[in-house]
Amino acid sequence: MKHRRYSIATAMVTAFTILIVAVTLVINARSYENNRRQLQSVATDYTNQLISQVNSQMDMYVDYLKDLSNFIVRNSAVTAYLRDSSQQEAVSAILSHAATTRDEIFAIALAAADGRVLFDDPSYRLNPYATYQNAGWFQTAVAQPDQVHISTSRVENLVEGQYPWVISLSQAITDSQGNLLGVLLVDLRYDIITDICASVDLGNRGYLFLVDSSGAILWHPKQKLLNAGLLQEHMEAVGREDSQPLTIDDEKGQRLYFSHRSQSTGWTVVGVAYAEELQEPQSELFRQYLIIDAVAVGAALVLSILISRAITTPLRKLTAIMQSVEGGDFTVRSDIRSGSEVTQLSDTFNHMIGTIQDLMAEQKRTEEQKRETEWALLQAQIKPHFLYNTLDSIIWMSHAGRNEEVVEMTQALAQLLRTSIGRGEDIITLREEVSHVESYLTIQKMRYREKLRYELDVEPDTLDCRLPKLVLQPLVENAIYHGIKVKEDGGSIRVTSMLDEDQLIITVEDDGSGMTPDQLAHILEPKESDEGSSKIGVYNVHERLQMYFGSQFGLKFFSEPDRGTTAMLILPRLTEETEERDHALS
Amino acid sequence: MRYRKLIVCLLLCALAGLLAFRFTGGQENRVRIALVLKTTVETAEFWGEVLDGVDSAVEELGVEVTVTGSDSESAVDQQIAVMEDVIATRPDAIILVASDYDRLVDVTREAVAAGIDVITMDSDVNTDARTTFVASDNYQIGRSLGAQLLENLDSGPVAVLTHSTYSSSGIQRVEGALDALAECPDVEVVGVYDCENNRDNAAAIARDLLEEYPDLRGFVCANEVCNLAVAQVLTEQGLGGQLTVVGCDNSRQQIQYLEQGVIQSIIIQQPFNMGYAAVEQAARVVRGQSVPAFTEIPCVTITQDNMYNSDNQKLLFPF
Repeated sequence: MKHRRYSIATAMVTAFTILIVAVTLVINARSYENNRRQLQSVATDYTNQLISQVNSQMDMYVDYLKDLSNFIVRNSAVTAYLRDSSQQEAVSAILSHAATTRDEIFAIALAAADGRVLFDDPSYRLNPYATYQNAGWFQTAVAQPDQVHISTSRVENLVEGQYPWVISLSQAITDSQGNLLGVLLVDLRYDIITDICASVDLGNRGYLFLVDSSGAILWHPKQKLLNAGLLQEHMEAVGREDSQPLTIDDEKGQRLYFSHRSQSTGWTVVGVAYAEELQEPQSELFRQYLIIDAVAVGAALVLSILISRAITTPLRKLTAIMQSVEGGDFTVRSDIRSGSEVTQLSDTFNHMIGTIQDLMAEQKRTEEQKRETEWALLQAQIKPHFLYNTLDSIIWMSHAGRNEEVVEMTQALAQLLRTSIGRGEDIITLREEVSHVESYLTIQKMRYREKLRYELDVEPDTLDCRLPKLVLQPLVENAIYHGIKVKEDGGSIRVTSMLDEDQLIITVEDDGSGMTPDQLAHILEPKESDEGSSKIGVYNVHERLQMYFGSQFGLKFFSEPDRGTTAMLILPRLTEETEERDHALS
Repeated sequence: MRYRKLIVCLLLCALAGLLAFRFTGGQENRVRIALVLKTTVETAEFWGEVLDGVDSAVEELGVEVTVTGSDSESAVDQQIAVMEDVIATRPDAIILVASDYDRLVDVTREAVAAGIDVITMDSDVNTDARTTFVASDNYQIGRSLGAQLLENLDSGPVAVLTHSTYSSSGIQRVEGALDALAECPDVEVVGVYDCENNRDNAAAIARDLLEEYPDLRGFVCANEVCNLAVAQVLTEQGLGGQLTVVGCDNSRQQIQYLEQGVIQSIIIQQPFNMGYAAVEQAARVVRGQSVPAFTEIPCVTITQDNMYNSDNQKLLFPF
């Protein structure tokens, strides 16, 4: 599996954005759903209310006409006219007066059983070809005489030359014996229904239609299309009595059918509302939520970018500085001061570079010191004075003809020089070091004669120990020049070696003049002057040992005035094997 | 900048979403239809109903219809000129009510060549270039006229009046009527008379015939003009109800004559349906849907007995 590594910034931007978008969407979705439900129930309630209003308006209207009809029917003049055509004037006036109360009344006609018809409007003439006794309004009224009957929409052909669409109310008039005298007809212009129904606003596409008690459509805004059979209405919506609308979903879109039946007329008002339009405020709501979401997402994006920049910019700066440090420039420092964590990092980094810089300076200094020490060592080894003196001694002995001594001294000098220069190795065995010191002592012995006595008491198991070269000779030299040479009767030097656990201890004892406590205290301090070169040598040895092995190793001096001095070399026990192991380790 | 792509991407998404939201349900290109009538001046109820049907279809189907026509039904040259003008406006389709079966063939082909679908309504042209012909089956109307006449009489001389010997409706109705009447050998057709859709001409013809054939038993009238003229002449001469009159089309006067018994039957077309269907078929053709070569609008036979049926009164007395 391949791991893609994203930058902190990308990770943060992505995480923030996803988080905020998710939270926004969840909250908004819930809130939207709640509001949507509320709006929907409001829309449904409103539509229901609207339709029941239409219904009650129509009821009121029809009730009024029923009252009117009842009023006319009970009038004694009307009965009288139907019986014997008397009081025609009065009845005419009653009809015409009743008709003027409502503009929508097309005609009020009193049709006697014997064929006489009296209209409210004297200009109306009876259509002689109208066979009204066969018409539905007449027959239903006769069949049920004590009711006001409401017809479905129909063409009225009673008035000559006119064929209006009307809705008719008819009521039979009988005498006290129950014999039919006639029928009162109130024709209502169909337009009144159009006026009532078309004025209802159910949205741009929503509409009302009216169904009569027989289930026929009484009014429909697209009546012509229905009549032509080009449109079918969903009649199954009619007669549902619960207030929940019927949902129809077809190619014309989702529509809700609200149906209300009127008790007074027996008609059912059906309101058809397009779900889309009912949901118009919901769409608006949705749009608003969408905008809020978009703004939130945008803000989230901008914020997360800003925050991630605030974090990554100093980090990137720091990286650049680190890279220049990596390139070797230790003088640069980070000056970032933004956000406590990054500042802390920056400070720590600065501190670290400082330490590294100090360490490097220290190392440089040590290196230089080491070089100087080595140079001094070289100088100490081959002291010109010692060489002149030795050569002078050889010349003098040659003149004196002491050839054996000349050979011996020259051999010793040669040996001394050979060891000093050596094979270029810094670390040699104690055996070699001791042989070097022996050569030196041989030469000095020949110079100082009886004044110098010496003893080399080296333990055999220390002979193979290894140590930095030329550490012993300066101590011996120091013992001769500062201990024995100044004493009248000379002195003796004793060199011993022993092993103490992991340490190799070599001592150089003399019984010379010794040192004062003051001298002793300063013996291991560096000397600038050339006052006593052997002292430089002693310091040099101490320095070298400490440099090689650390501060717990080096030189120790014990001295009492007129009693002598003991120099003690403390070294780690190094054999050939341990050295090899160290090499292998390093 | 590293995030620019991301930001741009997200912003574009948001924008696209909003735009899609705002403009869904945007208006597609509306189908443009030109209706070329025989005449825009004549105010027959029939054509008023046709135009009602056209208007309903416009509303229902969301198309656009412009109505043009010549000054009179017989102005064939003028209708050809009107067609030329209409072709120049590059509509998607033309609904043509041809005033001449043959003379409008060339201009129809011209329109089709210009990439305009031509649909004929009521009166056809003599070419297959038009996509469909929306009409009642005029031959069937003719046969119904003949059949209705034979319902009322079984012998005697009868006359046939037509409004045109050029337009397909006139030609085919007469043909159908003659075929139906031929089935009854006792019925003798005295002749086919063309009134050129003029009521005065028709009345004059009717008077002449009554004079020439005093024993005339019936009239077959191929349209409203002939029908009314005949009914009027018979009423004037006190002959209402004594002769059998069958006619076509639907008008208030025809209904009154029907009530009075002067006219025995009328075969009514459904002009509202015709106007609607013509626009509907035109829209279909433009949208690449297939339509039959003939779109029939059924006819209804109305008599005195069934005229106040709830269905028939809706046809006779349109709102």
